[in-house]
Amino acid sequence: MRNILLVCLTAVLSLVCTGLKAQERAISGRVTSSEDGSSLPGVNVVVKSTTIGAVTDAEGKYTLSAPDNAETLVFTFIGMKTEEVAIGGRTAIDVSLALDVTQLSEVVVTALNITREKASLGYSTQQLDNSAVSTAKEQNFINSLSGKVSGVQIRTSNNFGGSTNMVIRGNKSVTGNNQPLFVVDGVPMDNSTGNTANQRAGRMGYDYGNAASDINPEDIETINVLKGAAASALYGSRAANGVVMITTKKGKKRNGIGISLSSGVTFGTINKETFIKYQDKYGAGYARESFGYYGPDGFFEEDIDGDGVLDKVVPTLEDGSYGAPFNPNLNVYHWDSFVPESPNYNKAYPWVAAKHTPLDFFETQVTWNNSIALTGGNEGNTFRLSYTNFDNKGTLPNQDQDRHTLSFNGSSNINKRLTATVGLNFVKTNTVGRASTGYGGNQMANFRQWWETNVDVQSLEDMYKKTGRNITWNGGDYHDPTTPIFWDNPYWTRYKNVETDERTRVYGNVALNYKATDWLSVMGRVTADTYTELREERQAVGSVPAEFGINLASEGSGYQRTNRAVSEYNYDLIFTANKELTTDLSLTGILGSNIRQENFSSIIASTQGGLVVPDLYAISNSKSNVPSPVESDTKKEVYGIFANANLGFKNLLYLDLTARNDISSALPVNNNSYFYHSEALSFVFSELLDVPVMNFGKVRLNYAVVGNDTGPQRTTNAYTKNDNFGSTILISYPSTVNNPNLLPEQLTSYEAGLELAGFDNRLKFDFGLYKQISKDQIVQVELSKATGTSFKWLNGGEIENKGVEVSLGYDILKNNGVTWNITANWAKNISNVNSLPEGIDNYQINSFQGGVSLNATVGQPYGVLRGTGYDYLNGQPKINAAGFPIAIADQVIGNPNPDWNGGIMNTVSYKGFNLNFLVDMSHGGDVFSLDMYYGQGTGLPEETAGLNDLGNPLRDAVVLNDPNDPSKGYAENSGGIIFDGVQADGSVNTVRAPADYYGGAYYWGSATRQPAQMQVFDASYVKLREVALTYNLPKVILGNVFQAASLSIVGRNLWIISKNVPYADPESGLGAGNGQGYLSGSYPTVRTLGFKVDLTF
Amino acid sequence: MKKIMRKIVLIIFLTGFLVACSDRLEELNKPTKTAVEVPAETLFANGLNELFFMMNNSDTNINVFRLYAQYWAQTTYPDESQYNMVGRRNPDNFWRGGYRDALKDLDEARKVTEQTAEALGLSEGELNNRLAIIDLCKVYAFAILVDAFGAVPYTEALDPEILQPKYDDGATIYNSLITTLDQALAMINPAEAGFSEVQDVMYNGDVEGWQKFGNSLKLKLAINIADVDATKAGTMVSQAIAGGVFTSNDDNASITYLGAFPNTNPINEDLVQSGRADFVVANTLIDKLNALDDPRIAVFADPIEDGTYEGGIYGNNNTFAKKSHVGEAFYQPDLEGLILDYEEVEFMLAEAKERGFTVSGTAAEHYNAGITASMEYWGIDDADITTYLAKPSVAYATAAGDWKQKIGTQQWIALYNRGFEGWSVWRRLDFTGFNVPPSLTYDDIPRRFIFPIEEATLNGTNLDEAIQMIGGHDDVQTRVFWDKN
Repeated sequence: MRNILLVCLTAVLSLVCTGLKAQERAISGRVTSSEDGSSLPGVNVVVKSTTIGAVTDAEGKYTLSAPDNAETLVFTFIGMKTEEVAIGGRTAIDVSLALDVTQLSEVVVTALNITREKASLGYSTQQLDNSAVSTAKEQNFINSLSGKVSGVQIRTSNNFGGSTNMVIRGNKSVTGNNQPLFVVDGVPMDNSTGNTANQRAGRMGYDYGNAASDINPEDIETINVLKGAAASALYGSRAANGVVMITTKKGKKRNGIGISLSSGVTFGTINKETFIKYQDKYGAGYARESFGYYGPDGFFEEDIDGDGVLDKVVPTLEDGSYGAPFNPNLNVYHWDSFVPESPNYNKAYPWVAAKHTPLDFFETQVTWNNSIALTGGNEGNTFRLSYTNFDNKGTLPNQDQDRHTLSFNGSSNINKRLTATVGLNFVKTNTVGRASTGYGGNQMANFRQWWETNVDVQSLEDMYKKTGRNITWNGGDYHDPTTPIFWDNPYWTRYKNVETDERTRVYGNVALNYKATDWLSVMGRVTADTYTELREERQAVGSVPAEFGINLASEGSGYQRTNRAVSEYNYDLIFTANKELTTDLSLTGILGSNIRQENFSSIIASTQGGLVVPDLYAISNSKSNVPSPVESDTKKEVYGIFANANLGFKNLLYLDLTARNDISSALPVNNNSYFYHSEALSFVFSELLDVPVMNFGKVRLNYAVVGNDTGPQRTTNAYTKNDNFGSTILISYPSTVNNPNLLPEQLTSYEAGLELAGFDNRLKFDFGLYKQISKDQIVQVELSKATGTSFKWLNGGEIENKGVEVSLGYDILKNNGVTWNITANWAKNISNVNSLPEGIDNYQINSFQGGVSLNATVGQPYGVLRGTGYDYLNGQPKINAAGFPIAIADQVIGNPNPDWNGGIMNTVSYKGFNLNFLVDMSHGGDVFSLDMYYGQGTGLPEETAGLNDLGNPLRDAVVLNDPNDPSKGYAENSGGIIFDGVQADGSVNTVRAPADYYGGAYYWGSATRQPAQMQVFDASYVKLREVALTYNLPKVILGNVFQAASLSIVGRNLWIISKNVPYADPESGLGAGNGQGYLSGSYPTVRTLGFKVDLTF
Repeated sequence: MKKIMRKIVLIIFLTGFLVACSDRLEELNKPTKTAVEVPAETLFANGLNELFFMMNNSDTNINVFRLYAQYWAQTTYPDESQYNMVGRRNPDNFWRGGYRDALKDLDEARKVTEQTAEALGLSEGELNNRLAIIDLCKVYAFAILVDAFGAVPYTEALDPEILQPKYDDGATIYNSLITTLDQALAMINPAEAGFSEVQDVMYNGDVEGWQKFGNSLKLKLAINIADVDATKAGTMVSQAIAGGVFTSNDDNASITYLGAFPNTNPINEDLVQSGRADFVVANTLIDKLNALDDPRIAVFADPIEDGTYEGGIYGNNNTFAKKSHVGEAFYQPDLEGLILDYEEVEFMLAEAKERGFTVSGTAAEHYNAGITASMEYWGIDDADITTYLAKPSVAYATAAGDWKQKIGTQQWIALYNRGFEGWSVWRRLDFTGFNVPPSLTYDDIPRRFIFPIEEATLNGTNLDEAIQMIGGHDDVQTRVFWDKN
């Protein structure tokens, strides 16, 4: 592993020294590892007490010309013991270097792709190798990081092709982006979702995934997570949330072309624990008894068959299940009794729970992942070319994502001093059938919140497939099931209202590295990340009208397309100096400049008033005039100069200093320049102490200040043009007021850490403490609408995050061919909103359906849930006289931030077998479930039809012993439930609340009872996240054809060992972004199990 | 070494060069797809259009006053009919429509009009007319907000520099509005031009129409404060009549909606485009129209299967198929929108007369004129009007109740498509006949909107003061300042 890394290094660094001169003699040789005799590239070979030297090439060879009087060569390499060799009269000196066990000898990639010895870092990083993301692959590789890095919180949304929220060390920005920066081989990658505000607020809309998911796990060599501000100070602004540095696989020198093949297929089925469990005792309707609203017994009554006797008809327009109790002996007319194509046409049939529930709506997910990589290289040039196809058919009908990745990495030594490297990636992703998230148009909201338990999903499928029409269970008028009132036939939704999107992305870098002298090199690099995307949303003629199109009007049909183009270019010029100042003191210095250009443009166009010709999805097919398209076009440029010095003293003490100044076009011209810096100290105390069991010990300390700018076009006010009213032109004052006086944001961070290794390096321990304060935040503050606007960009506010991170690894077994390593990660983050701009004490991050909002409230952790809460008396919820919990407005009802999270990874190897399994856990934190809020209200989950404390169906009527005297208690046959709590006088509640209709014990619509807090659940979970068993075929079997071959069985999300959120995965949600802690139309978790074959020729 | 130094200097120079390019930086950050300067007329048109939207829409998230006035009832989800204001944050949405969508654009239009008058070459008369017209619209919108909430931000409103505007009490705001209204009426001059025909969506550039609107609005404010300050109200009534109020439906403050979204009458979206079946006509109205054998019933509602009219039970669930639907006219996309109309003026004159103010003619004449105006507006035959007016249950002399009951009931019927005013007339004249939703009492019928829920978090300190201003309780029973008896 290390060797591959070293080869990569060499590709960039190796240079052959200058030609021969007089009074000099050439010395050459080869450097190998004493451990296995392999070549060591990248070793520094220096004539002692001079600056004359060379670096070994890919084969460990070096040549240098030493002065005649040279006596000693010094061979140094990180992780190896330094060797000093007397030259004597020799011209060929081969050396073998021994491992330096006092060092962790880990080489990590840090900011700006600078490779460092981990021991020298005064800040926290954690490195993962390829197997962390490629063994058990996910659609979005970020999901694979969950539980593997301490201090990193990952929330997998469960949305097909959807985005994943990743936050390192807590949310630092009130309104801004809190996701880390992704950098691939020095290319900063756009990671936006482009999801609409409505999507983020759980209203409706598609989750288009975060753009970093374009990174192909198959091409990843290593992932380094730089957690703190000090680690990332050189990336400045955007790295304040941490950096995920990805190094891709490179080519290496070898004979012929190497071929690697990888092929995997996985099958996924939904985890039923994460889907609603329906009650099977009552069917359609909002009340069993009539309100005079429709007929008695919960049915409409009409003489359907013309026999002069009234027949019972299911109230199809009511999307709830508080209706009549099922009775197999009762024949009633159902929705499909009115469909001529149905076998049930004109038939009444038994009133029973559906045989095929929405569970049968889900299909088996099938994921194919095939890749091929070619590698090769000679003395001066190396390359790697790879192609990967990822194809994922989702769990909903008509859902597929297909991704092609073509990737090239090459390096060439143009001459002895000049090396060129090129990385190019082409990614094309086509997706069909994303599903709406949140409340509107979401099939899960339908199944979890608004459903009739008597409706058979199989019949719906049959009806759709037979007729191709929108024949729904939810007809507004039961005579005509093609007039949906709230919900379409779900198969119609999937097959007709199809979303598609495609993204074409090209990213890469070209770098020239010039080694000016043996201690100074210059690198010029251009990186680019560009993509274009087309998103198309469709609503077929015949669908239930829903908010659609640019004006979000109620539209029965429509078409909307969004074209987005995102690009970022970076131009870097970086000088790197590497010098031994004295034998004990080394200096690595960096001086650089960066020009960054970010461009974004998009145009959204939609039809209006419906489509003229069905199934023709073109903007021109609009019934009404097409609304003005929504255009945006922004540019941002940031100019930075930076310097970094790393001083090392005797492998003992390292001081790392950075300074950077940025000028950003996004800030007002008067305040657009900001300076920031970091100071980090690493003290390898094990160099001084000689504790027998300790192999390594280090203390790290750092302090950093990072400045930040903001998004473009926030300093000048501009008006909003609305669609013309006939020929009248309508323009309005902006709903967000910009601010010409913005100042840069500032993040201050402190960190201390301890790293230990002991017991022959079998035990590794890393402990970190940090505190981060972000202030002068640039916040889009919501204002009283009486100001005439909704939002204004303001500076101010302060968020504090502090936390602990622990990582502990132990080799339980390390002999006889059996190894067993356990690595555990654990982290706790505590956030607090210290202040908000301009004396505001609450900032609403999102306002959700259900009267619940997510807020930054002064004195509270970031992102608390507010809504109607219990009215407590002596710590007990107060219950009103009718038996319902009393609700009071605007309470803090939950905190979505977990108390801690962590993971335990086990790796067991025996002979060719390798078993990995990861237990991933998150403890504490709250989530509000709109699925339960409405779902219970409409009588869907099984507990709404259970038995009460008297053993009676709780949906039976509440019966008093004496109707005139409640004090005589309840009859033995009484229904209803007793809520835990106290009456106004403090006595324990004994009042039985009715649960026999939707407005009773589970009602959602009241401001004064049934507080939203009742639907707040503990989001803790323990999951068996990943299991992988790999068998590496031994050489004997492989013969000469293959270099390596392995077979794997991989499983992900196999088992949720524990959770407290009913019927849903506590992680599931709206996707990446600051809107967390809210479940609406949650998608079930997909368990996947698959096989993978890897072959290397 | 020298070479390196040279390169370092080069970098610094390069950076310095970039810093010098602050023009470029500024240019990069300018809005590219939105205008920084716009004609004032476009802002005016938008503000006015929004004012019509605010008063005419029937979105259950925003304007629930067709329900509160008990003209309509709901079918499956009767939350709003039961006066749940919290679930959909109706007060927030109505308030936002008033301040952000209507008033701020009018306010901005006024500023830009003044700033650009010279550049546009407006004559003094033209400028005055435009400013006066904007002020009339602002007065109207502020009055509605006071009528809804009791106290609202006024002196500190509409200024994004004041992040947390304080509230003013309703009576003070009314006084100030009346002053502004008088100034506007003094400035307005029908001999000069106003806004262009195409941008003036209410009177198409006819300044005289605006003058009548201003006087009618003055009459409306006067009548509203009649219980609080009869003297001032009396004076205002005389002045308004002298200035010239609406004299026919042609004078109505109306907007002509178009056939296609988004320019349709906003109720079209809820009744037609949504494909939903949320509303039927309420029994409160249907029962009254049936009792009076009112010919407008055929316009306001559709008969049920047996040809009769049956209203949905107000405040309850109702079967859409079995109750009278809203009349066909209201399903038309181009149904006219109204914010003030002639029938209203005549009923107010009748009321003024009963209150002893100086009004020519009798209360009965104005009462009849009000009914006639309404019936004519909805296309009722003259003969039917005559028959109707002659009915003992309608005729002013013989109809049941005191003048408040008589005028109130008939004005309420006439205001069918003006939910907010229908509710306000009930608050002002306290006529009987409203139904009580299940498990509520008559006192639970709102006499005001509660303050926006978000004000508690966005403007908390001032909200607390405002609650004290209206008597200490932010509830629906608290009456706005003019709702005395």
